[in-house]
Amino acid sequence: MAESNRPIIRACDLVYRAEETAMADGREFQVILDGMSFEVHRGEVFGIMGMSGAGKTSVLRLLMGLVQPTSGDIEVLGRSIIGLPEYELNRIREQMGMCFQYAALLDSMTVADNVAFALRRRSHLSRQEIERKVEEHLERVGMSGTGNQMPAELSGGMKKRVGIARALITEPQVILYDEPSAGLDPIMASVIDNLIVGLRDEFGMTSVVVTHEVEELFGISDRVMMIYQGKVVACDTPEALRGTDNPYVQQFVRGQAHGPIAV
Amino acid sequence: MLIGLVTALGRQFISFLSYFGKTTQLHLSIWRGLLTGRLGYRVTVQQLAEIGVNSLAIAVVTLLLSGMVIGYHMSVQAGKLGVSELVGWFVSETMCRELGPVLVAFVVAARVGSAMAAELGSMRVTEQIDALRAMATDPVDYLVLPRYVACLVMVPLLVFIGDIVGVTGGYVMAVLSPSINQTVYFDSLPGNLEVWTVVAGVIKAAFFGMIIALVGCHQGLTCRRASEDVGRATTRSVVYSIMLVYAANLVLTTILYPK
Repeated sequence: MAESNRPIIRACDLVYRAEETAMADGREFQVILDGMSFEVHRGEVFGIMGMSGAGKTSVLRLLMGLVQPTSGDIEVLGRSIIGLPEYELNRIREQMGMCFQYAALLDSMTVADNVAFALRRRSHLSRQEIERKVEEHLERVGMSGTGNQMPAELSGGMKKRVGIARALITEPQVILYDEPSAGLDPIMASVIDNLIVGLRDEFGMTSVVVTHEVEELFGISDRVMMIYQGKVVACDTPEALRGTDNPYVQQFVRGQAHGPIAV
Repeated sequence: MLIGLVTALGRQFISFLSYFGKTTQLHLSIWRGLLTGRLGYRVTVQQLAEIGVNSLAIAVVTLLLSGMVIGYHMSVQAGKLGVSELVGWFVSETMCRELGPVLVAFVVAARVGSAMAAELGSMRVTEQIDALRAMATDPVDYLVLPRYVACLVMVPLLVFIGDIVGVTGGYVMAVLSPSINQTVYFDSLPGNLEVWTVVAGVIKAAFFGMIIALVGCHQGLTCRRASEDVGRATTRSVVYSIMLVYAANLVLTTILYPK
């Protein structure tokens, strides 16, 4: 298969059980993902939707190698990440970025230091160049002039935008967004949506976006995957999903309380 | 009932082995990081200040008061036995061999080890540790190495300063005793107090520093993702550090001060 046609991310028969938490509590393992397979193509915006607790965030954590699946395989940028030591995983992570649901800013550092963190550790850019890039990326997410503030001084939405700037500054090939517009006002949510689409169109950046905001996801994604009870119930273009007769998709898209999805 | 007891003991034993295995693994990662030059100097300097400079006052006060108490007891007992001229030597031996290293270790475990567990634990709860990993930064290299090195350097230094302060505290109380004059206290040190006694105490302190950093960081990095567990990890870090310091002290004392 030609390199350009090869999926940038490939998950094969993923099973993930929350062993760590369950073991500590003496409870039975909770199955989060149960035999999930999907592919993400280079340069596409790939949406993942599902109910709260469906395992959307777990998918992102698995793709980033933050947790290991119970079984199955994950290939990122042409390489299996299962069982890789941390330093090997870091080589792959250098080409990825992740925006966390609650931003996960380093709270002992200023906004500018947070955004500059990866560049300072990995690039050979001068201090002035890094400062310029930080300001440029803060401006991109509507946070210009906040570099000297501490994360504790920001609102949830502002933190989220700083988190996005931090993930973008290294210009990764793949970027994973966990609920990118949750907690943002409609205008700023639109700015972030345009940013995600713009990065695809301008730089061919691949994005995986997790959210339960259907309209937002359909507006920006090339393909959308819906998960329910740890399994893929549908994966297609937004247009195809709107027209599908899959009862799970229809119930979720229409926001109906009654249907095959147990509430 | 017997089966229940055996099961409970077995579970505790497995839990101990698991804890031992995980801390050993962390310790190996720390040394791998140190030997491959992954120590961040700026963060290490911050930690040296935090652990060393900011713990100095409490360590000095603890050792000064302990030295005064020991000086008081020694001067009373030595007066009864007619060996008042040796009080300075007795106090310095006690401080340098045992009280200095152990008390400083307790102070640092309570002040610094607990802070490490709380800081790293709250970073884990708020996904900051995951964010570091997502930015291709090993949390052991970035967070643990500087704290470990700072403890390894500063705890022995605090002990050395504490030994001097403690012996001076003993002097203050001893000279108040009618049987001891001002010069005899320090005159008893040359020829009696060996350099090795002081050096071995400082070596013990280096091991105690390693234990405190290792336990504090391990507790923080492995606490579960709930705020209440940060509190538990903090308490555990102090309890485990103190217990391990006691155990290590016994082993190191028999090795460093052979009969």
